[in-house]
Amino acid sequence: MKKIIFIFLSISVLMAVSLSAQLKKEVLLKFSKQEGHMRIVFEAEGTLINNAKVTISSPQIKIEFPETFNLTGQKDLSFELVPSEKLLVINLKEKGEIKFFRLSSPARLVFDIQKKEIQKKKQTEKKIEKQAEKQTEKTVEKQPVPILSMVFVIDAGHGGYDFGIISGDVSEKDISLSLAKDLNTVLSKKGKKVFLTRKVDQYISLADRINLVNQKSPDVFISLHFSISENFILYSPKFEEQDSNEIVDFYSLSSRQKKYIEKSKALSDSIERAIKDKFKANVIRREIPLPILNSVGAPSVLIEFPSPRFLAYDQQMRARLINLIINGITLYGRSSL
Amino acid sequence: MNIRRLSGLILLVLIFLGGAAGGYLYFMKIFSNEKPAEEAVETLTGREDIFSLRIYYPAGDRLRIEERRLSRRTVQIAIAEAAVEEYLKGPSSVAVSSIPRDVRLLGLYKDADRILYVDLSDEFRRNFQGDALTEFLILRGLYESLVSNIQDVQDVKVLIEGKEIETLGGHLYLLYPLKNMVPHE
Repeated sequence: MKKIIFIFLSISVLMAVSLSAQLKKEVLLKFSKQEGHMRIVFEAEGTLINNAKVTISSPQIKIEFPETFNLTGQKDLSFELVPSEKLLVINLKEKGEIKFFRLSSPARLVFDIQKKEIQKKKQTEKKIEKQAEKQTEKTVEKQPVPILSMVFVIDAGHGGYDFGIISGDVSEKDISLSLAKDLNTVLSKKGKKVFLTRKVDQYISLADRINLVNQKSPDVFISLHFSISENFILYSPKFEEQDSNEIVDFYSLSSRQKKYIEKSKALSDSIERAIKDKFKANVIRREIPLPILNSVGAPSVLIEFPSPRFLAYDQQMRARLINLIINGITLYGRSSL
Repeated sequence: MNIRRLSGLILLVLIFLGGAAGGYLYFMKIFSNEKPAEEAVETLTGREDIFSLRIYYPAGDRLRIEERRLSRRTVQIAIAEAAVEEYLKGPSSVAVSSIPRDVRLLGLYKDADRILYVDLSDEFRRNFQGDALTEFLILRGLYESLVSNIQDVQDVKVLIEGKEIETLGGHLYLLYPLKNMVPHE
């Protein structure tokens, strides 16, 4: 009888050991890094991920899984990993802002880490934006500026690796820059203050363009682009009724344009009249919530000129187009007096 | 039955149970490793019956619906995958499409907030050619093709090569989920 109990016990122990060894859950580690941003992802079974307790105190992250686990995946990490039983400790090399997401399909824990310097840069940008907003509000209170003292911001669309529309040797980024420079020359000669969002062939983000416009608080903002059709297209800002909700605020979609929407429409009307006078062409008006219009605190219009497939952008044509814009601005100035 | 015979029998039963448990754990491990392959097979072939997807393509200054009939998928994420793949093929009735060429779907997943992340290859950005309206309709078409075919999706977010990028073609933000970026005109 003793023999039987002994055999039974030893087999039970063997089974328990093999069971506990086999049931360790797999946790797959993925890691990526770029320009001050780092993403760490742990993929595992839903129950393991959903019940994991995460404690973040930069530069350390602690994950307590409900069961023991086996960590697999990427090596050569730029942080230290200390796994023990159910606990996993991540020691980052430097402090930063840590965002944590618990995602499904597949179940995973995602940590986005941003270096402090980049965080500071963003905070500075936000401060500048707020200052610009205050300045804009002051300008509005002061009543419209007479036409002779107008300040302009001209935005040449695209640039750098963003070519825009390409037709043969002609690209949207080059023609829009050329038009912006010509417009700058003509307006400056007329005594206007002009700022360009870019003066050379370089990529400027939408956010940077918007920041510049809001810093300068211009009386007129014009963004120059191409359409894919033979028509001139004028875009005016558009707001949805629900635009003032939390979601949009969360996405930082400023609606500074709201105060200027009527002026922006008047500006588009004037430019439309000027186009029809000069070109007898079809002008299409569109309202789309483009960030470059919705987020700027100034009377604004985005002009799309006909595609280079339909219009030769030689010097003569460019001069005609500049003339057209000047006429449009003059009409707008008169109407806003 | 004497005690020797009984002990032999119990020993045999225990060995059998041990073997069965070991075998179960061994095969469970193998099959759990092969699970993604099973899902992939389901994604590709599914059941034999047919279902239809409504795909929204830019056509002029609006979106046009095309119906695509495919073999049945049951898993929501497989339906989403099929919707994106069909969308990227472009409209069947138009020779020149504004949908960027050679784009591959790299990944698709839904987060806890029911936002569907669509990870596309860099060709989506690189091969985009169009104006502000083209960009608007391409993104709106992708959004509509997903939310109209898949249940329980709150919003859609596009990633390029697994990363967030600011814009697709220099006119609209791609940093944020699409619903508020490309609302109904």
